[in-house]
Amino acid sequence: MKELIKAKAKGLNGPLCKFFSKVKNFDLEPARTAEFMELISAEMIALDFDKVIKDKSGNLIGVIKGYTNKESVILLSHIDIMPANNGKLEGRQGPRGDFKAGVVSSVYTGALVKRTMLPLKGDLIICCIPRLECCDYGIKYLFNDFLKTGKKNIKGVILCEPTDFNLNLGHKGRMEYEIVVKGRLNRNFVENRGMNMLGTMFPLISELEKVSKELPSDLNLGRSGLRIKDVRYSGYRPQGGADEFRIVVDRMFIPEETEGSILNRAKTIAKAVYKQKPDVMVSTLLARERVKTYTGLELVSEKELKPWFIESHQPFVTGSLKSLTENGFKSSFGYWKKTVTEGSYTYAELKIPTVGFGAGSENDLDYIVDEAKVEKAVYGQTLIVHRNIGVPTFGWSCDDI
Amino acid sequence: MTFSKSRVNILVLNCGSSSLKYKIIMMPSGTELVRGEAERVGIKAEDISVITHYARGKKRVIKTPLASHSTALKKILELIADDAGKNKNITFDIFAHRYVHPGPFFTRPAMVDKVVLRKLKETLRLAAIHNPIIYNLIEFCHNEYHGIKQFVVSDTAFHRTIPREFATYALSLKIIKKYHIRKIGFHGISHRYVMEEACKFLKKDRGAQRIISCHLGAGGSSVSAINGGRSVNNSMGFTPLEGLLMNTRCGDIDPGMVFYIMAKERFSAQEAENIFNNKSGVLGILSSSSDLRDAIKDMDKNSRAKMAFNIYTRRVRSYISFYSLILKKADILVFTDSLGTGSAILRQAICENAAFLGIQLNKEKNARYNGGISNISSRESETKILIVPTDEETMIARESYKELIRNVNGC
Amino acid sequence: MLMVVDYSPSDVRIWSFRQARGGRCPVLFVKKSDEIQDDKSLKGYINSIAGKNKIDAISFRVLFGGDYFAGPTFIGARFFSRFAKLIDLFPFYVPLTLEMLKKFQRVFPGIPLIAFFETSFFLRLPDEEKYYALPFEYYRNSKIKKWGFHGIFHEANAGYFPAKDKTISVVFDKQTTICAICDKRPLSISLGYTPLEGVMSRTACGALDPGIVFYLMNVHNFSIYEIDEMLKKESGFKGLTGYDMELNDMLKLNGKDDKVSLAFDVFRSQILKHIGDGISVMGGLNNMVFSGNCAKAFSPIIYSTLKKLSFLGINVLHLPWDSNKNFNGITSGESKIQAYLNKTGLAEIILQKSRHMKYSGKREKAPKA
Repeated sequence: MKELIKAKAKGLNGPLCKFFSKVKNFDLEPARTAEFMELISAEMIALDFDKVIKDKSGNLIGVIKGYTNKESVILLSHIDIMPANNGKLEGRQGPRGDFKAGVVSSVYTGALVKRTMLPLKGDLIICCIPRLECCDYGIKYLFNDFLKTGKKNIKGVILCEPTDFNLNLGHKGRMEYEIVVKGRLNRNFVENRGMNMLGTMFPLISELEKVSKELPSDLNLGRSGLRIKDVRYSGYRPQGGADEFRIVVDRMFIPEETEGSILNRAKTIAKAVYKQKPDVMVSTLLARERVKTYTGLELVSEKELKPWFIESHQPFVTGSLKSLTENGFKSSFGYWKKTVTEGSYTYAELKIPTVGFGAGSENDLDYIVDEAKVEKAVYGQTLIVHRNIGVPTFGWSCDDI
Repeated sequence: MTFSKSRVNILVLNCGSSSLKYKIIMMPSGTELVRGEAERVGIKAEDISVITHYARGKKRVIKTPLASHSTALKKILELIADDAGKNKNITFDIFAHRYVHPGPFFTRPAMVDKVVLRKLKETLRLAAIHNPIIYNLIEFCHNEYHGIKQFVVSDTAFHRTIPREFATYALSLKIIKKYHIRKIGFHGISHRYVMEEACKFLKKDRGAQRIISCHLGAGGSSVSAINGGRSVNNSMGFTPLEGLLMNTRCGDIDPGMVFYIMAKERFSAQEAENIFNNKSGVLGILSSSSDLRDAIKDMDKNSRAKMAFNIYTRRVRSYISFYSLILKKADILVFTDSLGTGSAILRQAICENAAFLGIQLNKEKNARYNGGISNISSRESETKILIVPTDEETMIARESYKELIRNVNGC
Repeated sequence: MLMVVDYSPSDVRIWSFRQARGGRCPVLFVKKSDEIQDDKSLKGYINSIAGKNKIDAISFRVLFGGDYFAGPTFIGARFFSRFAKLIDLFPFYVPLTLEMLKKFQRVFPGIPLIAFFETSFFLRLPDEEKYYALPFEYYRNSKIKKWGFHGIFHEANAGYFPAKDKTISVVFDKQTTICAICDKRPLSISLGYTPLEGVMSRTACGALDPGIVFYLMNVHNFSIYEIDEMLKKESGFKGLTGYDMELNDMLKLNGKDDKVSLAFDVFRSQILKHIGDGISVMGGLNNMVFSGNCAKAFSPIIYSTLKKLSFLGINVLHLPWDSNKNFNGITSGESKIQAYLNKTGLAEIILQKSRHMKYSGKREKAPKA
């Protein structure tokens, strides 16, 4: 079986390289999202996928049919979409494009599974999900729409994200929240708004900075993080009289923290800062984003992704790791420290066994994912798929017949 | 320490998983002074353990709880001490144990000391059921009865002479070397005993005899090919699972199918091992009983019983035929152990259609057999067919005595 | 003209036949499976082999037919629906073959396609040979029993002798199988389900104590996949010698290299075991026939095996056994048991049998099973 997979993988080398370079060189501006998705779906069709579907929220779904309908596996990759109004992802010099290797590897894993003709007990579902930072509307839509109607029995999810060929089992959560401070802030200050505002906000910002150094930490997932992403002032409204500023906080958090406790804590901190000022109102709230997908769907997404980690003795996990280590991979268990994935929904919410496997590394921005690494990822992902839903062939090898 | 006495009394201990057979045998004459068996030892069941003890021509049955093999031994030693009070001759000088699976170690009997104990301890995993029980008993004797020498006689040593071409599995050399994998063979004590007795009975020099020995037991069964007194093949392999159909063991089977069933039914390795060792074989086919004798009784009415019998005899015949090819026809074919001595129908079915290989049974003699050593071959049979009841304890005593003499002379 | 196709995941072997003295002579074409993936290249390739000749029928060697196919079968809708049910029993072979046969049907709609199964012959194995001694429920769930292998060769070998004869047929190919035949019916077969039983091959272990498998899994923590891989890819001749070479080349080292000699000794012992087994089920022996694609190359092994059996009255001729005949005796006249070397290839066997099928006009034959 192994040698059959290897032999068929060789035959796919050429098309894979061609497709990868096309994807790599595609300049993904928000306006070209549809075009990019079209490129991928055309490749799926060319590779003889049994079904290629685009849902209303813009997810692209390719299906390799199993010979029965028992257990399916989902291969998830994502496509970073920059918010149209922003132009740039925060903190990054444009999209890194590290998702592209994941997309290509997931599509070619589907192709390889199809080529080997090794029977699966259920479908292999390959999904490319457009994703805005910190929003998970795509994956939610996928499960509430396509996967719901299919009544699929899903054995597990493989996240095609950079893991440096390890098997990743979880990551911290990530949320964006806003601290809203209202009141006649400028009363005791000179009528110089800029100075006043800075002066007023500074104690809170500095308090948050302090807090950020004392956040809890998890053995596997690492330390929680707090970053002030934006500060917005919407004060000085001559009519209203009240001023308002918002601090937008980007927060990484571990499972022992919850959305509620984080928001409460932020509120307590802010209140403590302004306790001398009785007419100051403080509130906190989870950030939301109005999204218009490239397919035209409009929805509102809360900016929260839950932390998750799956136990390493879970059968889907142990089987997946063994399928790699028994076939020449030096993989071990790992956890993402910076990346957040759709696992926040598939495992934290839905409890579907989820693991991550792919080329590239989240820690090393200079890590170059070349074709050979994508091919390796395809091989690994195929092994994982087969170990979990493939029908094993014992005793016979291809050379025997 | 030397044995000045001209005779040595050996207390032979033969552990089963829930039984302990024992005998005191006077060597070199081989006279049996005491014998008995403790049954249902260490079983947490409502049935209480029983010791059946024969000495001085009397039988005693003692019902008493026996939590372990060492408590059973203590009780047995009390009974022996009791007999010794009435007959001074009933004593013993050394212990001798049967050791089921010492792996590649102990190709001949060994006297127990610290080194031997340590080596034995390394073999516990090889036969997870039997070895630990025997080991614990040996350790117990070692600690409690310092003054008494102990010997271990291995059930596999006889088969050390199996030549490479039959002992080698076609696996990678790396695996073979790393895990010491080769055909080890079992029931060596019994095969050796019946070989010696058969040659004595026929007044033949065993050095010139080609013998096929069928140890067909209610538990395990194996066939051995013996050439000139040396084992050249055994149907059991690295473990007792290979070879014939047994009461609950499947015998030869395609491992590819083992994997297939494991994957299909999602069995763990332990579950699968349990099924192939404890739920297959006669029990697997018959499902109501693991005893082939029940199948034989039911054969006319029950097609499954017939099938169990057919597969069983087919496998035995297959090995007899294979070993006839290796030996270029056998001089002697021996049946032993409970099924081998106990079922005339079974022997007849096994010998059927084997004239081509020189094996022809006398049906009347076969049917009339009642005990002892007996020749049941027809006049024209090239191969002498014998029934020889096995006596592992006597064989253990013989082997231990030989080793003892060797040790004494060596000193 | 007629074509015979033997398809494997890596390559496709196709025979066409040209007229020669003494009958038709097969011509072999080999192509990588990947190179004729799409319909167009397949069509082009087959037509290039056929040349100007009209293709009357195409016959396929199919490794596995489960319970459904008791003999050669025309390939059509009924064939496909039955064959597809066998996926579970031979997962990596059946889907590939299904795909390939469908492709042929699509590309050559007017040409009768006939499937010849390696397992059909063994549907008539006696029950005590067919079933493994497992709890019955596993048989019910998994349908596992001895399916046998090389039925096309063994059945052809059976055809050379009177029905009542007791014959042992040995096939040397990538696998070596031994079959006892009496009344044109198989009574035993060495390879029942996979090459992990019976006789070792280049990389698979052949007969093995199943206890070893459990020992490695339970005591040394191997997974079933690891052991399976080890038993089928790292064992056999390759395992015992450490040499990763074709058996034809390894034969040249027999007697010169210790490890190779041991490997062949073990190989011969395993063959001997199954010959013994065959004799025991038949209660005697009249003929032995050695065939298969590698039979000629294995002549030295056949010779030494027969030498070991000389006490049965087999009087084997000295090597070399030169003969132009496809089927020739290798024992002397006074030998009580006759032995033969049969060099007839798979393609010729299938060609002959195909002729018996009335393939003029494509139609399906109802399976007998």
